[in-house]
Amino acid sequence: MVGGLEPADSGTIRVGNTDLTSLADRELVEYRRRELGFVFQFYNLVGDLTVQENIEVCEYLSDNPLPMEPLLKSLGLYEHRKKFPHQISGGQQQRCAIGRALVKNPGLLLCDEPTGALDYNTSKEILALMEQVNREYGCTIIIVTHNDAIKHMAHRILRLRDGVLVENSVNTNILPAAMLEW
Amino acid sequence: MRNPLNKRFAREIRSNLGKYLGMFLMMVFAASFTSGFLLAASSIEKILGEMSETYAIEDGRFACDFEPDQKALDAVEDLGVTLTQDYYSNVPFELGAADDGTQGITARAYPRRESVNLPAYAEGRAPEAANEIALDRVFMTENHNLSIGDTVSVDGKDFTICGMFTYPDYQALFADNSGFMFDAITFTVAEMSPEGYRSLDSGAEVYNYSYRFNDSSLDVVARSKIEEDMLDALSDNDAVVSNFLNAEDNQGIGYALDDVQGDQTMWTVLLFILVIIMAFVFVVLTGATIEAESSVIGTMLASGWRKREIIAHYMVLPTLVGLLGSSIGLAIGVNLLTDSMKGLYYHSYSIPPYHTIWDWRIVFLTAVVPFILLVGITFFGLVRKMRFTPLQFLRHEVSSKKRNASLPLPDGLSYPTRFRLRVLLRNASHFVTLFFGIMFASLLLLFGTCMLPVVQNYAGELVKTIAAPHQYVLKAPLELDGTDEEREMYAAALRVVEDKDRYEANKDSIDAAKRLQENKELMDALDRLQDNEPLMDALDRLQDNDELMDALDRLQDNDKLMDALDRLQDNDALMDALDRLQDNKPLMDALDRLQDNDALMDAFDRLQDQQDLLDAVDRLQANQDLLDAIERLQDKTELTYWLEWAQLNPAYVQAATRVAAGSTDPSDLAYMAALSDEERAGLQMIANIDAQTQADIDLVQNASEQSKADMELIQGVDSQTQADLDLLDGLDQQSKDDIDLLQNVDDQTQADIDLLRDVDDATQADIDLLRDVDDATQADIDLLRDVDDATQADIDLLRDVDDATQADIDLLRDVDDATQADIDLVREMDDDLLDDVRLAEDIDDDAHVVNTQVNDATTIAQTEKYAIGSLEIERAFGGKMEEVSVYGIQPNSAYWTSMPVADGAPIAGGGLIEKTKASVGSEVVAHNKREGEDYTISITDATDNEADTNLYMTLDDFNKLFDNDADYFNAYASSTELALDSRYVAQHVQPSDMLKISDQLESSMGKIMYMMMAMSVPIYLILVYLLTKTVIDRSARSISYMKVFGYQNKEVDGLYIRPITYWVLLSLVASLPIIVVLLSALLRMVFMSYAGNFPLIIPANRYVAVVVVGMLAYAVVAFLHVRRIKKVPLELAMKVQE
Repeated sequence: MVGGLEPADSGTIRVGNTDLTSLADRELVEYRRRELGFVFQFYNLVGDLTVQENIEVCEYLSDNPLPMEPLLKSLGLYEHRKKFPHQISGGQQQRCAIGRALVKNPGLLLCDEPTGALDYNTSKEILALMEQVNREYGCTIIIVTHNDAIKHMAHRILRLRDGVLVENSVNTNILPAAMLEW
Repeated sequence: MRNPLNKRFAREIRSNLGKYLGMFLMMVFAASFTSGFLLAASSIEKILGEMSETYAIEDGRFACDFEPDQKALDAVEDLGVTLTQDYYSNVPFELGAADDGTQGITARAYPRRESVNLPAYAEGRAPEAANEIALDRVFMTENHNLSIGDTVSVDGKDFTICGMFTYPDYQALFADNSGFMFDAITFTVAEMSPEGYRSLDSGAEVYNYSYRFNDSSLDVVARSKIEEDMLDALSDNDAVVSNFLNAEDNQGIGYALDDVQGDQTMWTVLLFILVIIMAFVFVVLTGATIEAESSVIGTMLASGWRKREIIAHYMVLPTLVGLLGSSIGLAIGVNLLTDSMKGLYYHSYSIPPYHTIWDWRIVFLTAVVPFILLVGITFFGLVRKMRFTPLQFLRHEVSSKKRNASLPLPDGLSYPTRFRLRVLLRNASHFVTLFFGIMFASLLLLFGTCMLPVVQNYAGELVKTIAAPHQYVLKAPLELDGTDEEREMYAAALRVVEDKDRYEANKDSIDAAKRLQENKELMDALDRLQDNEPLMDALDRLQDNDELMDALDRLQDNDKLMDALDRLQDNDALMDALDRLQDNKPLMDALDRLQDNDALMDAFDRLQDQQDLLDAVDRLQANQDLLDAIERLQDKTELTYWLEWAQLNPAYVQAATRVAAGSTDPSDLAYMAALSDEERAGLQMIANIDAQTQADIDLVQNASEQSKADMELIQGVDSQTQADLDLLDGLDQQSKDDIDLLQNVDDQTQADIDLLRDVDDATQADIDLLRDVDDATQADIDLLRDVDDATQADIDLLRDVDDATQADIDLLRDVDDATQADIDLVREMDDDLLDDVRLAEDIDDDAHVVNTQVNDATTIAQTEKYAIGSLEIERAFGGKMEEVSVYGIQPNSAYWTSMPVADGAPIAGGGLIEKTKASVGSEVVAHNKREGEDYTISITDATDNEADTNLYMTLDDFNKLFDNDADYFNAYASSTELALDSRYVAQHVQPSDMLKISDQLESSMGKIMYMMMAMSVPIYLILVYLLTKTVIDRSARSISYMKVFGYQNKEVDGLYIRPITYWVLLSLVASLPIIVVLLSALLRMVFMSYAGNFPLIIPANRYVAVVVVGMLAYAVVAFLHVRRIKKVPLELAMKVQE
């Protein structure tokens, strides 16, 4: 719902100064285009585009994209930038997906189980990358995950059970991603 | 920045080359064929359109059974049209050295056309010499191997081909406009020099006239009105119109154009159908791609990509393929295929030389519209596919396959069957599209393959409508049975009209004969005299000399006179004499009177020559005293003697005188003594003369010298003369006067008199007769006598005629000048022609013509009279009128055995029911074009023959319907060939004639049929390939799983390829019924503008052929798929998949 993909049955959703529930479909598209970056459990890369081109898919949407080369370097994909998705590992593909989400320089990065398809080390790499992104680019990141350990790196924790919010707390003891264990 | 997705295109094409190449090729294929065809067809359409002015195409034509007279033609022209005589003859034709075995060719020969329907010479020139001929181009080069310079035989005579042309009114070579199909194989038009044309046997000449409206701006209504008036005018002037056809209805003029236009529509429609199918293929394939890329699209949408941007992305390749395919197809078609496409028409139609006429419509129809259709349908398909939310994309909820795959399947099915069904269900959209694609390709294939059987079947069915082995359609009722006299009569009539030149040359004479005909007496006289040629000639010569003839007339009755004249006539000298004397009436009278006195006349004759004597007599006669004296003395011949003696011997007389007085002188005595007794007696006589005698002697002696000489002369005449003189002298006064008259004639007259006098009694009698005539008669005689020998001969001839003849002559002589002129004309005519004309005149105009050809009784007995006419009934579709042949047949006909017509119960052909608004049990309105009337006809039954568009009724009903005489008919049905006067035969139909239709259709449509068949195979290949490839592709992971599970390739093929095979087979078979329905509609559309009804007959082997060809094409595709399945890697199963 925050991503503007699903309408709210009731209540309001406000992102920044924007009330999402009052937006028409077209305005929602513009909202997503301008404000959001998405990272999914499955990377959903375009198979016949290279790493860099996949990132460019979203760069194309932004008036103020991040510079490509530093982004690729910060994602650790610079050497792989000309490879096609099937030529790189899952972690690299997720990095690419994150790059694709970041390149628009969004205010809000929505990550849906970003490590769900990744092994332990790769997952930690990705989480570290997110930490770095948050720090470097200053964008808000919302991570949806079943991995309880990951909440420790977040500033705010919202816990849902069967669709009901059961916790809404501010994390006062933030751990770096590298220190997370599960 | 540039859209990063653009980089996908080249990679997409590379990785899916087969798919895009297939689409591209199909587009190129469709666009090129269609554009090439349409450009050629539209160019031809324009060329045809320009012909009207360039070649002065007629606005219409009419033909009369018999040559119409000028009055009829003038009446037509007065309605605002210009007529051009356009006679032609249908004559047998042989190919000569180029003989290819074609039998029964007919050439329609025209003398050079110079004002209307002008020829377009493709090669060579128009014929000039009598033995030159030009022929139709299609007949010459497309259907036979003829070329300029070849010799062909026309009507049994050799002609050299000098040119190859097309007639604008024979663009399609229709021998008969009501025919379904033209015929450029056994029929051609030929152009000849007027001399060459005249050399043909004109027995089958058709008296055809072309007309053009003087006001070309008239609309259809005005034109129709004039055409109706034209028919009326012709009918009012006794012209029997056998055919009336305006240019719009003339298949020779309009058929090619209709065909070209109709084909353009058909090809365009086929192209559009193909493009629509292709568009669905695009939609299906693109849909498959979208399904495959569903999560990516979902991500992109979530990332802020707009749907339209994504749609635009997926539209690019179909658009590009469509654009390139249609552009390249258009370029290929326009540049490379136009020539061969034009051949489709030039092979069949006589059209002026081809040139391409560019038309932007072609670009629009074959590139722009297909492109728009393709892109439009693909776009709508995409929009529909993109209707889902980003989340649905992310969750792969955009595919129907999942929905279909979850359909419950019946229990009890084996695992492989269930698997295969799932394959089909998962890819339902592909298979549905495939079904339609296969259906379309099958439709093309079947259309191509069944066209010929349809036409062959049609021809075969038409054969059945020809009930008798020989059917003769007549121009007028012609009775087979007749007396010899009737035959001779009609034969004469035929000769009169068929020997046109002779008839023309003798037209005045014939008209004269017709005028004379009414005067039977005169004609009979003429007839009787006619054979006596010399007499008639004589009459002719004398005729102008009315005076003479009148004289002859008057004298004629006086036979005796004429005989006399005859007898004398030859004696010219005599007649001349008579002539000369004739005028001298007193003389002739004198002659008459004297004539009988032969002695006198002889005396006269004899004296005539002694003019001196007669003069003397004359002079003396005047001196009556002297003559009296002489006369008195004459009686005293002794005394006269002694007086003369005394005159000679005066001495003795003196001596005697003195002695008598008394002298005794010795000398006197001596003298006396010397005298004889006789002398003494003589002297004594003298001495004793009485006083009268003495006075007479004195008178004589004292007469003048002249008188003396006269007397001397008279006295000196011989006794005969003296007798004559005496005779004359003894005449009465009248006779004397006569003689005087005669005496005074000149020599010539005298000669004449002599001549006349020498004639024998008979002659004399004649002369007498002649001389007794009155003045008038004499004048006549004179006239007659002056004629020259020839005339005389004529007169003689005339005079010898018997009374009857004379009566005839009199009759003839009494005619007025006009009649005489007629008689003269008639007499100059050939006798046979006159006989013919007179025989023909005797014909009863109201009676049926009797056939002059003889057919034996058996033949005649098996013939059956029927009548055939033509009406128009509105077609069930398209609104146009169908020309329907109406048959009036005998109830219980021996030929139409399955046609139980009865009075008031017409039967319609099965095709008529199909083609028109007629139906059994209903009434149908039929229009009579010639009369401009509508008839309502109740249809009581129909035949089973769907090709039969005829309407059958009894002959009685027919005659009532058309308002004919009760005994009218105009056709014969016969089981054997009949001998008929060709002049009355409009058409001889045999069942085999119907088969020509299929020959021509095969020749002219064969190429199009093969092209359709050829088009269907690539469509099969490409469509089946494209649509099934995707099925395999999207199942690649499953296939990989199967392999991982341990399935052999063959088994995998069985799971994936077999359902496809079943589906293709099912599509091929199951689409057939639908195709038949579509094909019926398509053929109905194609044949709607044609006359006749075409039952759709598809032989079973054509269905088999469709399935076999479809399966063969699929076999190629299946082979590729087997290879593809073999190549599916095992590791695919291992890859990460949601």
